[in-house]
Amino acid sequence: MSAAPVNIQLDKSPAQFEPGELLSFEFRLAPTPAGEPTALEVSILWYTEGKGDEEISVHFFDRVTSDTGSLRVGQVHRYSVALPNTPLSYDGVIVKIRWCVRVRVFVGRGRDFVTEEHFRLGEVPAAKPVAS
Amino acid sequence: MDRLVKRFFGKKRGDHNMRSDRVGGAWWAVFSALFLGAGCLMLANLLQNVLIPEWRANNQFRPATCRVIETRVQEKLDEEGRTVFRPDVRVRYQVEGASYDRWTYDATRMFTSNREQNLAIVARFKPDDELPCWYDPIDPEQVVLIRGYSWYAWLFLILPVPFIAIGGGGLVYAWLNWGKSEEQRSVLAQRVARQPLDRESTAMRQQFPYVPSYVDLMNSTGTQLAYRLPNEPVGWSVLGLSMASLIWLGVTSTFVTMAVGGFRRGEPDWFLTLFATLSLGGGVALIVATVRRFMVTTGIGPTLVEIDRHPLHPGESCALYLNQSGRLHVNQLRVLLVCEEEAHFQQGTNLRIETLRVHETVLLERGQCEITSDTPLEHRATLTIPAGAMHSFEGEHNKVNWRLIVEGDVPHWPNFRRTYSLIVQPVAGAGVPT
Repeated sequence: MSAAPVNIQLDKSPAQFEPGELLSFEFRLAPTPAGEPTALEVSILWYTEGKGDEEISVHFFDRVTSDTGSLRVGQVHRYSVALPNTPLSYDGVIVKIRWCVRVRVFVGRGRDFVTEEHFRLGEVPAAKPVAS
Repeated sequence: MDRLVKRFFGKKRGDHNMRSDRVGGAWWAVFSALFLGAGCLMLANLLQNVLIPEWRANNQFRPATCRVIETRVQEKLDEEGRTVFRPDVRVRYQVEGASYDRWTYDATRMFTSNREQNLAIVARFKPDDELPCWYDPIDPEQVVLIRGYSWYAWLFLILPVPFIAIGGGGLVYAWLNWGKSEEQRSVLAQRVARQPLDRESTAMRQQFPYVPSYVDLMNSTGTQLAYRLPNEPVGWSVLGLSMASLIWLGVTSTFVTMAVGGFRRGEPDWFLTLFATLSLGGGVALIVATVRRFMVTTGIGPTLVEIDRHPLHPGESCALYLNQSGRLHVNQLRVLLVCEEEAHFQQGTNLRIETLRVHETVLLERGQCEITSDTPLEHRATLTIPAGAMHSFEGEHNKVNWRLIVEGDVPHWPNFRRTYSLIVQPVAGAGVPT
């Protein structure tokens, strides 16, 4: 896993979305020294951080191969996806929920490049521990 | 399976995971292949040495008559250096005009550790006895004096089963997930994990994914307000603790008996004595916990908590009714609205759960008061979920729980604490479909 040959651009800035809102973004495939892309995967997902074992849940997933779409360098890939209502982004103390768009580009022989663009779903303020 | 793979090879906590984890998948495949290979070897060994010879002796061997020449109990050392034995009977028999002279007994020719049992077997055969025997038509040199099946051999068939199941399942899993990214694996796992729920719960999960269903919290109608909240079970029940105490003390009594026996013989085993003492201490602690739980469960009357609406939303208020019955003097009684984060994680081989309170509102704080059977403590309040608060969340390893907690300090009695789940859904914002 190395730096990805894509730059994800969300249509909205700051990247703050309401539950159920449409998330639109695009990215362009750049050349890589590792070779031509053989497939790419686009995911909109949340994952947890913090003390608990990490979990991940994919809300949207699309896999593009040369059979199902274009993988030409310079090709712009555009997506618009309605976000779910929950779970909202959360900056807890021992539980954190992060949302992101993740693009994984495969370049053969098992090598892949990953890039993420984070966004916030909802406006839940950061939590603080209750003083005991 | 996914959880098992992650447990051994995956990243657990700390750095955010984005890798496709081919190395972990390869290790898992190797591990599974080793398991499968071990299982297949065990099965093959069992088939070759026991099951197939017995089946052939019972179904394919032909009858003949033999004469006993001599008997013996054969001895050898096994892999662990112990002497093992098997009965051996030398017989002479004829097949299609050819004469054969063989040492034999049964089809498996297995050695066992019981010498007396083997001596008893060979004692049944006397030189010059004429006996029925069964020979192999393919190889007449193979002959047996007894037929039948060894029950233990069929029981041993169970041994390779978990190896083959774990190894085979692991290989299928590795094959299905080979080359797949973490995201693709997650999508597949989410499809598999979708459990059939009732229609109402399914609709809730679709509208608010990862927010727990509140259907079960609305089953009971209140007497004062719309819903009576069910009491969350906390820790072990009285019955569970009693069972654990009995089992613990049963095992401990064995150690204590052995330790006392050692002292009586004048050969005290100090290590065993220390172990038995510690075990006894654990047993006493369990009994104390059982008694405390029993006192809290039976000695303090039921706590009824009712609310007028469910689910709740950040910024919303709802009416609360509390009824504490029983016959007790209370030093302090508190009702709290809390939000707690809950993280489940593996630490070594243990599953740990850590909770942290991130919100607390005191809804009632009552000092000294007397509760009698005629005059229960009743309290009405309004509870408000803070605006902008996090909704209830239930992942596999991480949770955000909203709860009402009733806790009491009763003199000369263990403190009690009763908790009631609340479900908080997010406010329907601009983008939330109504």
